[in-house]
Amino acid sequence: MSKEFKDILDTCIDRIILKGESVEQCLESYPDWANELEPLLREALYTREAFSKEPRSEFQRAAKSRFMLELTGREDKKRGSILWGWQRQWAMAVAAVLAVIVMCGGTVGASTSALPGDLLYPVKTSMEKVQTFFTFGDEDKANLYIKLAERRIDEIQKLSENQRNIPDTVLNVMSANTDIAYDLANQNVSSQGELVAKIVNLTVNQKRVLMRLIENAPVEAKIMIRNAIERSENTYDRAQTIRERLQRQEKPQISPQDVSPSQATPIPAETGTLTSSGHKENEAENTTPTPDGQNNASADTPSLSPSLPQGTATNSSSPLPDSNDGVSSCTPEPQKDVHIDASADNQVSSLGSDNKSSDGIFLSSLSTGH
Amino acid sequence: MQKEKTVAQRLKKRDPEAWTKVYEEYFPKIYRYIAVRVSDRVEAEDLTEQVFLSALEACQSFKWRGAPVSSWLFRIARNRVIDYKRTDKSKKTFPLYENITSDTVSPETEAEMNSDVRQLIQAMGQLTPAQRDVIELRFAGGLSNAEVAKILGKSQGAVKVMQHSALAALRKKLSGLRQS
Repeated sequence: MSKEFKDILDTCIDRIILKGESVEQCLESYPDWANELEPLLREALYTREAFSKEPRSEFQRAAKSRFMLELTGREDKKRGSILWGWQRQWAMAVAAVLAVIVMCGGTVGASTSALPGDLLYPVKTSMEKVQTFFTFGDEDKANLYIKLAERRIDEIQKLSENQRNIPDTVLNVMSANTDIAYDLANQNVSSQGELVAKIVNLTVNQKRVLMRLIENAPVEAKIMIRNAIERSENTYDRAQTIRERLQRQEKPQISPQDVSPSQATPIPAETGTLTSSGHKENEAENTTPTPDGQNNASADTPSLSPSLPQGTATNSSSPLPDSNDGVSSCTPEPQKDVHIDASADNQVSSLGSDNKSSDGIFLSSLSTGH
Repeated sequence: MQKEKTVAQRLKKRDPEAWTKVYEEYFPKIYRYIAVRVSDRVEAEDLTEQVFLSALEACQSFKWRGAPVSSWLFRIARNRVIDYKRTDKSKKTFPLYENITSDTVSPETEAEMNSDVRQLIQAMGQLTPAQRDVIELRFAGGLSNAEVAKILGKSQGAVKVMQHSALAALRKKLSGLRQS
């Protein structure tokens, strides 16, 4: 085949792969070569479609959280660092010891109210890093990350009230901390109810603050804020799903008055619940991986990501918990007007793509003027 | 070209905004490329994450030499896959481009791969390594000829030749498989 044909073939493949044009459109451009081109272009299109597998949205979200945390963590570390190798390690060890000593001092006290951009803000974030380092156990870590995410949204609110610039990193760190808290809560079984309730509250508050913020934000900032809102919504959906499942498991099936204590039999916990869309929640949400690293009950990776079916989101207008509420009880909570999801009905919808659903929720919630 | 240079400089400075954009643009592409090469979702996810963390680790020593950022990322991805294939793990469970049957593919992988993709990967086993590289980077990675040429260290003309011969070979092989 001539060089000219190979060039035409390459141009057509670019049009199909990179611009999404059809084979027919390409053939129209080169009618003299149609006979030779068509079979190869059809093969190219077939190959492209066969290889178009997208990463799982839960994995993508979790991976991005970890990446952003690594990026922003390294940002803080690298700023002003001029030490090498063993000097840096030694300096970090000394800094850690000093940080503990300083913790008792006034500097720390003064830094707790520092906002991004203030002189003492790096002291504040350094103290937080030391705190995370010395916090052990999933439950304590989850509570710590919830607290840190709450601090970030408070900082954002204060910056907004004082009409100061809000750095993108604060939004990213807030979202990353929330995701980490969720991942830990998803693993933690004993106090899971309490943790997810806190995360639901947290994400509701995040969205409320960010929605107010986006109204007056410049165009370039709107994108970052919108992303942060989307992440809050996604985490809310996931936390709320666990919360509802726990509530269903705790709800008694029969009235205790109907059965005498001697006759009462333990009610088996539901092993899998159907959402109203008909999707069955993964039974293996808390299943530990088998020794070969594969999770028998689900195809999920042995990671911190939740095992919700891909593309499923809960659009229920569930009532907000009381802000002081810890573990959900059997007592039904009062309905409230404000909720993170703008959908008016309680149906769970199965969504084809997280991106599409998030855009839909975001736009509809903008129109309701939260 | 200038735009690519600016992006590279911002990545080197660990600009969060630049990194976020690059991450969001190339993450699915890197994943698709690796998924085709390792034929295992779990490993593909792990390797994809490693690519970006490695890039972040290495960005300070990154020197822009006129190649797009995509070439740098895909080169890291390609090296990761090569390292992975060298491990015993990859040899035991997920042989690539050999006679892929249900005996050699794990039940999980088989469930995920439909018959078309299996046929395609089987057909790709008949290609030369260079032809496979071009097909994987072009069609799984969604890269342009220029980007592929930079990654493989070949001229654009050479990539076009390999692309043509690879497609022709695939068509011939797949026609046989589909008829059978």
